[in-house]
Amino acid sequence: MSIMKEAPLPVGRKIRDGMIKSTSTKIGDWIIAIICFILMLICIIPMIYVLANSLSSPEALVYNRVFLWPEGWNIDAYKTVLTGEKYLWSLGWTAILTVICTLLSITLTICASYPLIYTNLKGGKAISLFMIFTMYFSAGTIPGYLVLKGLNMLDTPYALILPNCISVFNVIIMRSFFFGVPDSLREAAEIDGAGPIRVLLKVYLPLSLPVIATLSLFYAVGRWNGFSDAQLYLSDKGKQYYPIQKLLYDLIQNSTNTSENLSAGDYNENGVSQTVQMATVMFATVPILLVYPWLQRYFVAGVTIGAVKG
Amino acid sequence: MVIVRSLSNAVSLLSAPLSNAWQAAEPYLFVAYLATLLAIGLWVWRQEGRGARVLAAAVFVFLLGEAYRLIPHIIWAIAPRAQQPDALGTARLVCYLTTAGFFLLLELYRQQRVGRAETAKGRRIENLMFVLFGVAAAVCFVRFNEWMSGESPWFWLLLRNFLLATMGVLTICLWAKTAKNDRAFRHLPLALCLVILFYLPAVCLEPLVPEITVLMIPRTMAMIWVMVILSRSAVIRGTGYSFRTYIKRYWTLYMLLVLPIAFFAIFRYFPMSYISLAFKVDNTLVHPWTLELADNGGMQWFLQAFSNQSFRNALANTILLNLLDLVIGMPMPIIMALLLNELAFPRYKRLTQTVLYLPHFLSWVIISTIALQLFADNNGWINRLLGTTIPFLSQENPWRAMYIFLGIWKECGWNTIIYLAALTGINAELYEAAEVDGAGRWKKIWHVTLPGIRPTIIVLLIMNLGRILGSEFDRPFTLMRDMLQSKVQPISLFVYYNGIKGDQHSLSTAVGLFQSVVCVIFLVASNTLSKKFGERGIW
Repeated sequence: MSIMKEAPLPVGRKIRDGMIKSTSTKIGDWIIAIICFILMLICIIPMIYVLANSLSSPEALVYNRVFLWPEGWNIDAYKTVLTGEKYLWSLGWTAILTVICTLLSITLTICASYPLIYTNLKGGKAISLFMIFTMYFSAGTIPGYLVLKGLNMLDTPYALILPNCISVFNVIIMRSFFFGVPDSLREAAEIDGAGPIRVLLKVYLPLSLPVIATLSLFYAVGRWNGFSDAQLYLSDKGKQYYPIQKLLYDLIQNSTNTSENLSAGDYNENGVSQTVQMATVMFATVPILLVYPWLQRYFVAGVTIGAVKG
Repeated sequence: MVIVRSLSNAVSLLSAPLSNAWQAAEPYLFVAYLATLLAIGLWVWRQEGRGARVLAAAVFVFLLGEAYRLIPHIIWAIAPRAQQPDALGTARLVCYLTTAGFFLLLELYRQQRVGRAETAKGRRIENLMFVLFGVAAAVCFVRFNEWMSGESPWFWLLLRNFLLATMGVLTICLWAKTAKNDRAFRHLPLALCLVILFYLPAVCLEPLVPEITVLMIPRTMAMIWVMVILSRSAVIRGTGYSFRTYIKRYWTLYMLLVLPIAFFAIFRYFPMSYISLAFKVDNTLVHPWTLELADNGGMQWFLQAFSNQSFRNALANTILLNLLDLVIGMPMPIIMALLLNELAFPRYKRLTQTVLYLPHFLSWVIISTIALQLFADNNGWINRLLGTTIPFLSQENPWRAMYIFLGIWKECGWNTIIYLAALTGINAELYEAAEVDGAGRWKKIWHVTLPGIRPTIIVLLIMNLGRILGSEFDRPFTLMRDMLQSKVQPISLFVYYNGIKGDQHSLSTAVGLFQSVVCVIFLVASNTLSKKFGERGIW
């Protein structure tokens, strides 16, 4: 053990980590650092803009005075969102929907990927082909729409839950991860008399918590940010099932349409001022922005496996 | 037999008043009556001797035969609009058959307990039992079809399919038994798996294609024959297990796959049957398989699409936007990954990565909301800072540029992940060797890093080429302004406005089919090409 611990790092690594460096590379390092800082600013400024706008007074926004620092500090917009039944319901409903979808999706993904690691499973190859084929060829928007229509799922929550509940991409990621678990563990459990299900629950799932967390995040983000299915499958009849993104889109469409027609002073005509829009944007982004940094180190495995084996 | 008959007659006579009491809407009394009969039957069953068993059997048959009166009430309770079950006799027949079957099952169980199940007699009993159950299920199937025709299709279709599935299970068991001369119930799990696997999609899809169950029956039979042939070979090829051991060991895995397969069948493969709508007359009331061909030998919609200026625009836009995405959007993450790779401060690097991933987690609705404000024509902050009045999102070419720019802004950071992962796989000794040879930063990037990530770049290039005619929905839709729509919309929006908003289903299905087929062709072609040039493809 001690030998392994004391094994030296590869020399090239040292060089790249900056232990042996000439002056010119040091300057280069600073230039790169500055470029990265600018890139970071580009990524983050829009969010600051939104935050500043949501904290400003509506009047300041009408004359477009707010850029990165709020003017006329107040949190009325947040109060409006938190007391407005429409927003609160939509946020809560989207949260519930996200939880349901994520649980369902991750369960089904595990169900779909686990049997495929048994290389001697009859029909396993055919089943994976059956799944992967759908990645490259799809029937298109209209057939999918017509099927949902025929199943009477339009304007129901099912239209948001079922049609996209398994992503083949994620099944492939999960399967690759399961493949990475040493076979000897499985064999040992099988010798002890465990059936496939028990092996899954006691050996595979505990070992693959990171990838489960990552895929759950992917599914949750997909659902939370999902807009096209609401736009396609929910009409006015399914209005109570609008997720937050669809609500936000309608809000902005309405207000831009009115503001194009009306003069700037009538900002409140539609009952929704720009600050409220911005506060809604904050509510729609913050949950995800709070979660993803914690799972960041697991992304790599997930994304790489999916892209390379896809 | 005379004794049995007279006994049952006597019981029948005795119970007549009670039975009538039920008809006078006294359900508790009737249930009590049935319970008493059950108790008597059980008591007789426990007595020693052959006569006792026969007698008990008679009691049970009678008992369940009486219970038939419950059936219409149960049906009405579940489905109030069901047609009046005129044929109480049928219900009685089914009950008698089922009861006799259950009796035989009990008898079989007893035989097994005393170790005589494997004899010819045991097998005869079993066969008879299957026949009884099968006939009962068949009768139910036929009758329920009539009774339930007034009920909502979902309910009675479900019931009917359940009965069909039962029949399927029984048939499979029976076949497995005769084929292997084995005890049928050993194959029950297998039979259940197969039937569920097979019927679940069929049941769900029946409202759309009423013929599906009819279509399914011959296939079920074919499947059973396959099963029989399978069960005959002693060892499953490639596994080293006997058929029985294999099923015992792995049937749970097949059960796990049932729901995912049902998902893919219903939401991915079943829509493909609607592709035929592209060649048929425009009618969505029935399944397109039953429709007649459209004009011009079915090609009418394709001809119409290509003679449609708006579609040709959409096609050109899609190709243009995707090409721009490929040419400009593809190298960006590579450059950024190289930049991050050269970044010397580990903590700062991690922070940068976190921040660069942020836009990926914003939805297009939000990005467009922010963009529409920041890039507004007159009073937007970008224009103000630049001191210009560029119509970023309200004229064609600036709009296209913004479309590309925002796409890069959203996904560039995220796409570096994959390149960064590939970069860690490069052998550090190569850098060392390059250093010794006097290579500077640029030379190292050009001669070591880029060749190291070439396979990854090729894979992503193939995948992007495969999407050359594909189009997202969220991105153009949220960024779209009404006045630009006809000029810059890609195919996805054309399909949305014509198919879903405009109800031209055949036309837009044809367009979608064209899109999918071109995508597959491009994917296959680019993969073949890359293999020809000695690179690793994606399959």
